Amino acid sequence: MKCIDVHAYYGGFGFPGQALTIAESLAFMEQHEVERAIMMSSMGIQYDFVAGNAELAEAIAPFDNLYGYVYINMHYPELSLKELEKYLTSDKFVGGKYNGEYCRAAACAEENRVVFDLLEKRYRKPLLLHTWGLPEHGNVVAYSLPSQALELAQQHPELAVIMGHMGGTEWMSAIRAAAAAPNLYTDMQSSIADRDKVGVAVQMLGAEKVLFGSGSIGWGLMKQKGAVLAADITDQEKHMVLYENARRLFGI
Amino acid sequence: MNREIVDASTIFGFWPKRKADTALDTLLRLMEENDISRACTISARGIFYDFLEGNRETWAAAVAHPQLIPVGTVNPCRWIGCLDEAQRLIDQGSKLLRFFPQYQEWHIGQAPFRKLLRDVLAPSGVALMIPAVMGVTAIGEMAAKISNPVIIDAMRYTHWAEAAVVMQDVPNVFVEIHLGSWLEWIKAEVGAERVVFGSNAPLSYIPASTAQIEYASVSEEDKALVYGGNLRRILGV
Repeated sequence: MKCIDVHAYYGGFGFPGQALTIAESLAFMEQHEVERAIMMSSMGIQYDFVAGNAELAEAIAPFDNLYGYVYINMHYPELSLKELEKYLTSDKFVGGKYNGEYCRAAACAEENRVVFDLLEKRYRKPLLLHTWGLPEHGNVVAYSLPSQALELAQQHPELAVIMGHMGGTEWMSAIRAAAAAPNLYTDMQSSIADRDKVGVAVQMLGAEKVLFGSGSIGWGLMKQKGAVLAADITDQEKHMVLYENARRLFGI
Repeated sequence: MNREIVDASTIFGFWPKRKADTALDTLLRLMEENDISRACTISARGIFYDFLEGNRETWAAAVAHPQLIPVGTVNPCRWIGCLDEAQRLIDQGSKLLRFFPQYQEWHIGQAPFRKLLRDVLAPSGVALMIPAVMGVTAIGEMAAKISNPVIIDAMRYTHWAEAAVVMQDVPNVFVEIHLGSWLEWIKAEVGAERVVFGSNAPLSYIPASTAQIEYASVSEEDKALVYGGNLRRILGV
């Protein structure tokens, strides 16, 4: 079953998974019927978002089926605005990405409004927002709760906010949050593959609010696609989750 | 009194965890403004993203700016290439390896770090810097089994009593003081030669660290040891 991956990384992380080259990613995509992938820079997430976005832009430029998210960092709102303006005029960059846990700052804070206004009102492109039910990376408070994603979505009713990882451990909280705002979506990618979270999400939200992501083309794709294929939903719903929703939401 | 200040803990690069100007030029300017003659430093790229690239960046900065003492790092949570890179750093003459488990989600009690310590770090005798958040007693127990100098950084108030007892028992343990010190007290407990100055610049104010030493009721000789003499002796620089 063909799919569009809305949660793909370019680069490595601080644990022992090998980062794929673009050529290796493309080979994996072909092997597993991933027609298109939207990538974000792992360097941008963990370290320097300006350098990371630039590295990603160069890497995906030659390939028609690879797209990018502009990574932003809420500690640097002025720089984030510049990054959005630098890339979002291009069809290659189809949305923004933010991870509050790595950055230690919640997206929904009032002072960030101008950044998300730009995505919502000028570029009208979605935001992939990392969500997790617990503090991560040594943080003692959480910056990426589904309830915080809901707050952001309600602040920006025209902005499509996709909850990356569907809240992780607390995926039921993410589903409830998505049910409370028409512009709040879920991306089922997660290391948590509880059965039947995809089925429950589709049942409670409708298939149009659940998207597919690999988390990493190299070492997450088969697991995530397997979870969708094994979900207790119809083939038409699987097609929507794996492919059609991403095509519609991102216009690709 | 005209003293030489050698800073045990600085960084440069990009800081993703809060808004901060941590550019290399900023570090160099702050060193000059605060009469820091030399500083141990490390690229934040090696802390947060890629220790191979970060170490290369650190060494390039030190070649361009001889007042910088390059500090190496590896990430045992990443593990791939960890042992080889640590050995390479030691072979190229690194004086200090600094670790950042607080950002990388590992602990010194875990098997990868223990193997790194046993197979590469301990045989070399290279100095190590480990944050107090790992547990001062745990760091002391680790240090008691090796001869490497072990500098505990990011000491908070709640760590000092533990550190004093550990240092009384383990002679190769030292403390860095950017988060606060009771210099008079720790001198009485273990001697001023066990304390090294660090600023955590550009993330922290340098005078916030120097003032603790400047206004401490200890001799000028003791201050000189803390400001730089001890670190020079420990690192052999």
